[in-house]
Amino acid sequence: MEETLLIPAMSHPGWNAAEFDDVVREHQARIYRVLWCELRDDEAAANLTQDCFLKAYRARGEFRGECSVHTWLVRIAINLARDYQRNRRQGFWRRMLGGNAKEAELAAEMAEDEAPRADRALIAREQLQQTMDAVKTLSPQQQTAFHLRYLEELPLEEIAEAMGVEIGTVKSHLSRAVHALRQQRDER
Amino acid sequence: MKHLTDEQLAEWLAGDSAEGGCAEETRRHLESCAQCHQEAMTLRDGVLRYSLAVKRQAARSQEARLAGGFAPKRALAMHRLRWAGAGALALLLTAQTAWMLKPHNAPAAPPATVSAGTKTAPVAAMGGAMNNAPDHTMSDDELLEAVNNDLSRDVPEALAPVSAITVARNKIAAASKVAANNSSAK
Repeated sequence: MEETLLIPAMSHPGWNAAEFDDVVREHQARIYRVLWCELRDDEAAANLTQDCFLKAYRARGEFRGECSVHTWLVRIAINLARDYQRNRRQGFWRRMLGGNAKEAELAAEMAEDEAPRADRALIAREQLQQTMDAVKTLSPQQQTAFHLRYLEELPLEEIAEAMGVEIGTVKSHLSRAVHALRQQRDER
Repeated sequence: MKHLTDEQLAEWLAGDSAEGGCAEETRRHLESCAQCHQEAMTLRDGVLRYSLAVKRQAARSQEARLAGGFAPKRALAMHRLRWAGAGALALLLTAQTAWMLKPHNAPAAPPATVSAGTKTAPVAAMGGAMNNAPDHTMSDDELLEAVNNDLSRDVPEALAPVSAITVARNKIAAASKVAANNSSAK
């Protein structure tokens, strides 16, 4: 990652190249995870992580410190993911062909964790499946809010900042997510 | 009893004790309502399992990327290269198909009928009806030989038979003269 970020220093204020390497090291795992949650695609997540830091580096002069660096990076990452999804013509086929594979991996992972107790494994798998099914019914914006809140554990203000929406909208997205989870449970 | 709303459960799930000012109310309700308590626990467990599974999967994916050098740009370049290769192949196939579909009414003339280095070769190569017609053309060598023959001829072609008789007559006369000389000598 570092080797691919050897950008010539520019005249913008803010971090120099060496300082920015520290920013990359500190945040790359979480940014990768945000993008991976958004896209469920290893290669795309890796490429967009790279793009996210490149974009951040180029725009570092515009960062005023009004939000945390992480929130700022998450905002860039989410915008990149949105653009990627919008432009991805083969998205439908990818979902059809590969979408379930990731979910199967997730479910299998939970089963492995709970292997010593078969009944617990079954319950865990069922709960995970319910949550995955519920998340699938959410809009992309709602999914993003859900992931940022319950996976990344960002405060509502930062989620709103990252997504470029009002806090009330974030709350509404989260309520909708909980509603979907409850509905999913009731259907089973 | 009024049960917890989606908003209240969403706040409780995220541990927002201070947000919305209803955390205390939510907590008290959960203590007293078994149904909401059960529902909240189920939701929490599901979200927690989902969160852990996704985080672990993402971490594993990233580790694999890091182990492989984590060079997304290189992967992107390979991806583009694959597309470029596919495009070139498609172009090649299209060109080949177009060439095959193009009408070819003029098969090439058999090389044996055309002498090398002749002026008629390009005409023959044009093919078509000209190849089916009798070959009235003459090569340069044949033409030159014909001209030389004409020039080397002692008498006009039209007079050739007369000339031949004269020559034959002269030869006979010469032979008779030789014979006469021989007999007188004896």
